[in-house]
Amino acid sequence: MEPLESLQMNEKRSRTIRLSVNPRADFRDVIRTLEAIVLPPVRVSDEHVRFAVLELLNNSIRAHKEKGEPRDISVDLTLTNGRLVVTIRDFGGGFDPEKLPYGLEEDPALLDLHSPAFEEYQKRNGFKRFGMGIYIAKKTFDEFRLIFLDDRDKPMAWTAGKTTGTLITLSVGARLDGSASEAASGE
Amino acid sequence: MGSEQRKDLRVPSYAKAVLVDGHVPGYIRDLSSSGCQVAFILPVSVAVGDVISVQVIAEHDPTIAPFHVRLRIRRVIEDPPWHSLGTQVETIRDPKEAEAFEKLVSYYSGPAT
Repeated sequence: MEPLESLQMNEKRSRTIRLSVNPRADFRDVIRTLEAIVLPPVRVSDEHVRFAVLELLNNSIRAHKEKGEPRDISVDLTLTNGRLVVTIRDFGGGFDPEKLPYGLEEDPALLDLHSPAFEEYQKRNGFKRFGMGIYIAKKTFDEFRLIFLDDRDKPMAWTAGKTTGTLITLSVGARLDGSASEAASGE
Repeated sequence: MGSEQRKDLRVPSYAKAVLVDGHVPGYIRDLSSSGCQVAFILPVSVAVGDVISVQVIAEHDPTIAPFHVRLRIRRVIEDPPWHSLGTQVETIRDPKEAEAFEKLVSYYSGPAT
């Protein structure tokens, strides 16, 4: 597939590619669109970035379908100061953090993936949900932030029936070999 | 590590794949009619040449019911945090499961909508 758009590290200004994902879109088209974007050389591989974003996007699409929410999900990929920043904004109503097999604020390095909580969660959901999307995102990106939003786009604690959706922000820095940072500075 | 011999076109894909032995969750990341790559977030105790059985859950095509497939491991790829396996499909004896696998391949290799 030909590259769709490119986030080049040699651009001095910030640049954003925005994807509007229709929740009824064929998921294969979503995958192909992400595959067609040329990502900047960051600390982790393109493949890992795409895996993590796809997993979160999959959760958002499922939430939209369950809620019958027709609005698009926004995915922004921004290159700024040598960092790749990804934001995913959905209107899927959020989720009850208490039902996850781990705490949202928990350090992924300290999580026990063999704990019965994970398998119970997966069995309870017929293995259609692994409960791992946030874990994978935290393991892939340097920074992870998730906030629930109300109907005015204001942050709120998750509340059934009142939370309209989530805003997830992920970021990862330039490759450690320095190639990305040199390119980013225009040298 | 071995090397994969798949010559047919692989397509990027997304389906959940649960290792039957131990219920280890994974994802089918690419796919062809003869094999697939399965990425696990937990390490799995397998070696090249082993045969594993996974349950495939293809949630994005509701016409594909969950099915089982046996996969022979051709390559073990350690790529933290992922533990991935390049695999070759073993003969699928159940015609319904063979049909489900073919539908999965067709879905992800089909034309853009």
